[in-house]
Amino acid sequence: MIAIGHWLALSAMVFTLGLCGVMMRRNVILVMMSIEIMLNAANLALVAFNKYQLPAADGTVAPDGQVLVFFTIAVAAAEVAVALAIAMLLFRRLDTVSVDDVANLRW
Amino acid sequence: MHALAFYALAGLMVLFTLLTIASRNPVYSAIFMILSFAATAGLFVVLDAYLIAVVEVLVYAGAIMVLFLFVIMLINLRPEEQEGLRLNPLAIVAAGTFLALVSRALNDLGPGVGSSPNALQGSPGVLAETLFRRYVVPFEAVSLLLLAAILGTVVLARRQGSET
Repeated sequence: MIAIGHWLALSAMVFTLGLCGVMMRRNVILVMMSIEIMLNAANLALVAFNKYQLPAADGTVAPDGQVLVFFTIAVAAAEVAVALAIAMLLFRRLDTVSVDDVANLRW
Repeated sequence: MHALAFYALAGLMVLFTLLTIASRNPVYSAIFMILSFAATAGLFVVLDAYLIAVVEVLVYAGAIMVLFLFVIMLINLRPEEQEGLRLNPLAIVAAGTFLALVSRALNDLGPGVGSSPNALQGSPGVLAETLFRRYVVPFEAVSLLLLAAILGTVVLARRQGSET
């Protein structure tokens, strides 16, 4: 039997890999993909917690965690659509997809 | 059986995620990410979250990654503009600190978490019951969010000067 700690350790590891991707990649599309990796790791933790939560007094378990994962996936899809549109616009206007070249708002 | 599937799929997931963030070619990154999502879907099956596993493959590995691949090929980076991981020491320290903090926090999970899995089966019927009763308002809010995203994308992607 797998303890919940194993699931959470896996989720934390994948989340950290996504974090590394956001901090170490310069391509804006790869940064977005790393954000998706982090969302996916969080989804895994949510489903794992749902599977290991103690049942209610009548012995049933509500699939709240899995419903939350549904919403996360829907929000991720919306986020990707808008973010990729922005990336396309960036490439069309400035001819670059490197986050280093888009630093106009940086102090 | 469960343990074997878990360790195999977990190893694959970490490996493919690593390859995703480390690949020089963005197309390879996207392909490895699809494989990583496939491993995640397998892990959801191990957790008895069957519907979530199907949705993961359909929406993430299907729709979202096709969108990524589409934009990568549309932008068509020149080889000299592609670079892999930049091993910034500050970023490594930040990631290590994050991992240490999370592992520390996971030592005490608090009440409500059992030591063994419960009997929950994530079949469509069970999920729909909760989704359309208790969470019907957030469900409708998500549909509005998707509509807003569609409109925003259309406005952003429209070529300037071609307004009619």
